[in-house]
Amino acid sequence: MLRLHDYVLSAECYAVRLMLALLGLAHERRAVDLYPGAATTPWGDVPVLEDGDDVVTDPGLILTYLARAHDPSGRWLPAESAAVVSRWLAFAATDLTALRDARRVAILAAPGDLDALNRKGYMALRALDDHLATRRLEGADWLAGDGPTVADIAVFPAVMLSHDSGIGLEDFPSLNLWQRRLRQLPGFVGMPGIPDYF
Amino acid sequence: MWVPIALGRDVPRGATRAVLLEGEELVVWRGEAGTVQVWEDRCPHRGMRLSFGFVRGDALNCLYHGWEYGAGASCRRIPAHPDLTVPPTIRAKAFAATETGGLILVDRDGTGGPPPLMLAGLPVASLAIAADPETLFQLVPATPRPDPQLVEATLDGVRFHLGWHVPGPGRIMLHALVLDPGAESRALIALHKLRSEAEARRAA
Repeated sequence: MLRLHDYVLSAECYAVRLMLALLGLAHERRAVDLYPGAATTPWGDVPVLEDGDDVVTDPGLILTYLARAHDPSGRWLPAESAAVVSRWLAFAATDLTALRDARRVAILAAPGDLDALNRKGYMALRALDDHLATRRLEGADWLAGDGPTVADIAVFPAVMLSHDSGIGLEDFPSLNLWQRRLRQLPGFVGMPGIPDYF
Repeated sequence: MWVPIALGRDVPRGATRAVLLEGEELVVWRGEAGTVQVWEDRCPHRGMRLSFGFVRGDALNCLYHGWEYGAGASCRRIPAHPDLTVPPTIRAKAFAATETGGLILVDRDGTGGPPPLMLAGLPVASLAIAADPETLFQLVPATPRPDPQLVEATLDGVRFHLGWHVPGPGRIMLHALVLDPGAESRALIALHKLRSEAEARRAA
């Protein structure tokens, strides 16, 4: 049985919930109290996925684990797009963390320089929009390959929640259409701040 | 005055797009009939941005409580009061909008007269640049067209139609189309280069 250690407002936990929903995987959830000083999980920060005796940590690794171990179609992690998928998974774990941190400052009163984080976050969104704009001219709709992959799922929450720290999608027309397309995928689920209407 | 605010390609049927025009929040959307609409991005009920809403048929619905606005921005249904005939005073604010040559234009103050007509271009991208229009057009040798905020320009050997609007102080959003089929990818590279140069000049 899959078991997700989860925090409902975490963008990274949401990425895992979304992947589980898109793959149609039954699972149980353990809500973790992230209040400072409260217990998290025996393995560190959420999200953490237990699969029987196996434990997977790190949002990007959980997504690729689910695609490898629980998606016989292989379409979420296609071999022919492996390099591009890896690049955007790395981007989600590095450049996009500015948006995660900005959001924590803006809505959870975490310490940090909101303007500086938002400036970095804006440039990360611009890099994504540039890539998608280039792909559109080649007739492609997604970050890598012909269909949605774990790369799209990994970057999606930060893009959608950037308005929590004050960055809208006005400057990013290609991201705007991409997020709408992603919300139309069968099985899609939202979270607070991400509507599942489209 | 007619102002270009988006590429038609970026607002397909059923989609909404938020646009900032001189600090004002607008929603651009397109219903199933295909006509583009430009409204103030604000539901008169609770002030929610309509660009977060959803299109059904030829109506835009607010995400908060589903208030449904048809052509002309009149509210025609309030789901919480299904039997209510909605008074005509309940309406979002609609602006005159037109689409020509691949561009969506809005006339916010109603002084634009007949809408501009342009030859069809091939859409490349809308690009936000942290530079004011004066700084940007120092870098682009451009020929003005009779219509405001529309120019013809050649960049790196690619012939462009450029429309533009100002989202806010010190910023410009270019809406770029090319005239030669097959030049789109080269055009996008040229635009990215222009953005880097304009923003570097601003920083210097």
